[in-house]
Amino acid sequence: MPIKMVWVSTMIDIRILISFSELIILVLAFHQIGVKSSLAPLCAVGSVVVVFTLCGCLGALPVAGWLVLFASIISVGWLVFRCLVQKKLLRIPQFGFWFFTVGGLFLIILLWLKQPMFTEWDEFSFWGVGSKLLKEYNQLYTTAPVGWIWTQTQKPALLVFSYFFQFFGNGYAEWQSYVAVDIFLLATMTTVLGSLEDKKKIGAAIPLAVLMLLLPFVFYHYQNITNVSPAYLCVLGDLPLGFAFGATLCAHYCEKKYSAINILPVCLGLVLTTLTKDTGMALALVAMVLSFVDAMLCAKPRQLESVKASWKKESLYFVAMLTSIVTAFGGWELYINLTTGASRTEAAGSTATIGIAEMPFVFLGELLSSNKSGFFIEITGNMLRSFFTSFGYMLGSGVVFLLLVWGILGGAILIYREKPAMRRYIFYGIGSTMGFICWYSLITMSYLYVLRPEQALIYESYERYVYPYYVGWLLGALCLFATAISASTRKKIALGQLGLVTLTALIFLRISQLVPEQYTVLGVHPDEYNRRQEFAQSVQQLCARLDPEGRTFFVSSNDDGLGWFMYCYEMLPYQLDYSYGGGTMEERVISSNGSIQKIHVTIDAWEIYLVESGCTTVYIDYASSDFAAEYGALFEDNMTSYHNRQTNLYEVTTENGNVVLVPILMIS
Amino acid sequence: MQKHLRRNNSFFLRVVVLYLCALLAFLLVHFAYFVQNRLAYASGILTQQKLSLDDFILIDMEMTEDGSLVCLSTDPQLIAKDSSIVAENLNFQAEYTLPPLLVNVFWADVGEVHSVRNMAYETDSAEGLFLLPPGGAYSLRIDPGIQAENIVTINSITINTKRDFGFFFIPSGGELALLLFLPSLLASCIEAVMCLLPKRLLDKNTFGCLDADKDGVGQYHD
Repeated sequence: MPIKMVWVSTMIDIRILISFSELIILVLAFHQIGVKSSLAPLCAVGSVVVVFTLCGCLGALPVAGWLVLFASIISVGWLVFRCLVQKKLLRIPQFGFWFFTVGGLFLIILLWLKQPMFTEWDEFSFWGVGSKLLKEYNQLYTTAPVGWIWTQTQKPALLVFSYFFQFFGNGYAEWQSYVAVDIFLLATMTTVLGSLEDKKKIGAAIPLAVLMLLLPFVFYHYQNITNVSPAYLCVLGDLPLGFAFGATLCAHYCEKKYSAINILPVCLGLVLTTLTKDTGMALALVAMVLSFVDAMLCAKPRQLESVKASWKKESLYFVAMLTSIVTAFGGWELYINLTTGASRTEAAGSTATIGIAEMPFVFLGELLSSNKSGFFIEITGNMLRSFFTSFGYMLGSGVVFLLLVWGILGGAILIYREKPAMRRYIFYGIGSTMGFICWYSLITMSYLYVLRPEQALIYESYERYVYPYYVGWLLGALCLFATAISASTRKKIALGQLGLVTLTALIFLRISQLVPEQYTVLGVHPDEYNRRQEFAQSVQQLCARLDPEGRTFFVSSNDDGLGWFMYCYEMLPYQLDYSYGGGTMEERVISSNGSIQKIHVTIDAWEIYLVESGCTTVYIDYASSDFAAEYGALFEDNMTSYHNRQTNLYEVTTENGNVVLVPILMIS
Repeated sequence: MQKHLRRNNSFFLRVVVLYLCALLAFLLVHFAYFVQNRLAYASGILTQQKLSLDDFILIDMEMTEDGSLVCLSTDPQLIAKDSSIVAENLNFQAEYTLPPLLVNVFWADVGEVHSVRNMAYETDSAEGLFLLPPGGAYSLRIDPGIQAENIVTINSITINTKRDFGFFFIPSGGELALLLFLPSLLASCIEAVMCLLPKRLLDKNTFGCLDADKDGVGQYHD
């Protein structure tokens, strides 16, 4: 399928190369100070995210952009100085670095040619709109003006990383958000190759790298593939979260010694995982425990005297990891409380009356009691069953991933049978399975206590909530397999390599069986985005008729919320009022017993609301006859201009203390 | 005297050679398509033909007095009455009152249903041109847009317009994936197989096993 050449003459396409160059320089700098080539991209991405998040929390987000530029200039200077003046030999970047750099450039060019656009609900409700908010207002989405509070309780890592790529120049570009997420993925994928670097096992690195690149397809295909596959074309945080978790595990398992340089990638990986999504902290804790147990029990057998010393080292390691997680999570929670005072459960529109910290105890209490509620039995029973029978993934149900991980670990044992290594593989197998049980319970708890019952009973987004663990689980197992290969003998290495090639080939075949080539990122046709382009243009025309300082009330009867999110996103920086959620004229009120009730809005209540919220215009996307019957009196012309298709826009005016909606007719 | 290349260098060389072979294979295969195409025209299997509106069944579309079509829903379709047309491309020229947003041509073998797996988008270089897999006789379906109340005035529907030489060498998404991944995977595979050879054969072959000197006990801690 021919690639459409889109010649864009603005600077905003070059800015992404500037940011990418900064990133590459940081990768090289990390590599020079002693981090492995394959782990350096993770460190670079992690440090960029940390700098931007910190500056964002301090209310000075743009400062971060200049700081990173400054840091990369200094790095170049330092590298040149080291090489030319100090005459020290620079470490040559290994294939991990090249995989990241060449892969990154390829993705940038590919996405520049394809110019993808947002199409999914969650891209409009948070992940996409969030990154646009950052660019439009140069501040974190928590303080940026937008009509809906829900966005303020998610985590910033991907959004600030997207801001980093769009830092220079004005104007927000959707496709560049895709670049940011894909480069994030690439940086985390590279970590798997870490243990092959020392022995330069490029023969084994190749199938592993290809397998990594294919993994997004494996996890995204739980949706009906009659639409463009989201692999590499999605800004949702679930897959990046899984990869960040996996990268953290790989950063640990690549190393056998725990010096300060070696634990830096692990700590940055933990911070990234915690800051990518709200469930990230649980994954980070699992990674921390697995790493600590591995460091304690599976390290090289030592002499008795140095055991004391080694305990000290491992304890420091544990403290460093715990500090990273707690600082990242706690710091962000503190920031949220200081700026908005919103808690997660309240804003997610849930009926939860239980805080996150109490959830595990309540869950255990109900699990062990003999008096379980029907809801509890149903949810837990179905969750247990789904693990085995819900074929929502390309490879089958969840149990397939468990078998795959254990299979890869079994392969590692076959290839390399030395005692310390075998201990490692077995402990990973058992530990990660236990970690999975905790994770799965956490998701079950979310369905029980956080999500609304109507969402819980349909197991909304079940596959998407669970798979981050599968991703990391697989990455950890593959990293251990790679360590087995790098330590083994010729024939076993060859067998391991063939095993990897076979696995990659099988997955490639499975993907090609299910995904039509024109629905992949390589083959997607620009026509697929015509709908969005058309919508964007019509909203641009709408905004041209609006007051930039104004606020618009949104009427769209029967909308399920997506319409509101899409208009809100497209209209930014023009403000769209929350408008009771856009679909129905019903206000959500938290009643005295904690439950949420929907109260129908009367015409008088709406009049008061329009004045109090400061709306200057009312935009009607679609008004049902019920709406017209009930609220038509507030309109000067009783909505005839709307029904005659003369206008969708009404101005909010006040006459003798009453609100009158005057039609703003289109000038043809 | 045997040339003493560093084994890593020879591996890279092998990878580059395999990529060149893949590129060559791609060019050869597509050149074969070109030759097959021209032969088909020469022997009369493929002939450029103009189709009229009478050759199609209208789904969710209605004919107006002046000959144009009104779309009644967001999924208007034109299905060719002849379910076995030998065509390798279709040129659909039409005018619309609203932008159609997405125009596709579907093909189906005898007895199959039209699906998104067998769907062509407009080529970028030639407006209105849709490519079909060569060598088949299909039931064709044209979806002229996804806008309800769109008025479509069809100027022409032509099959088998002769395509230029350059047209035959644009890779599809799947071919691109194969070109990117297959040569390196193959190199890795071959290297692994070579390493499984007994030691005495290893010294003789120039492909190079990167771990030729690692026959002993594996080293976990160096």
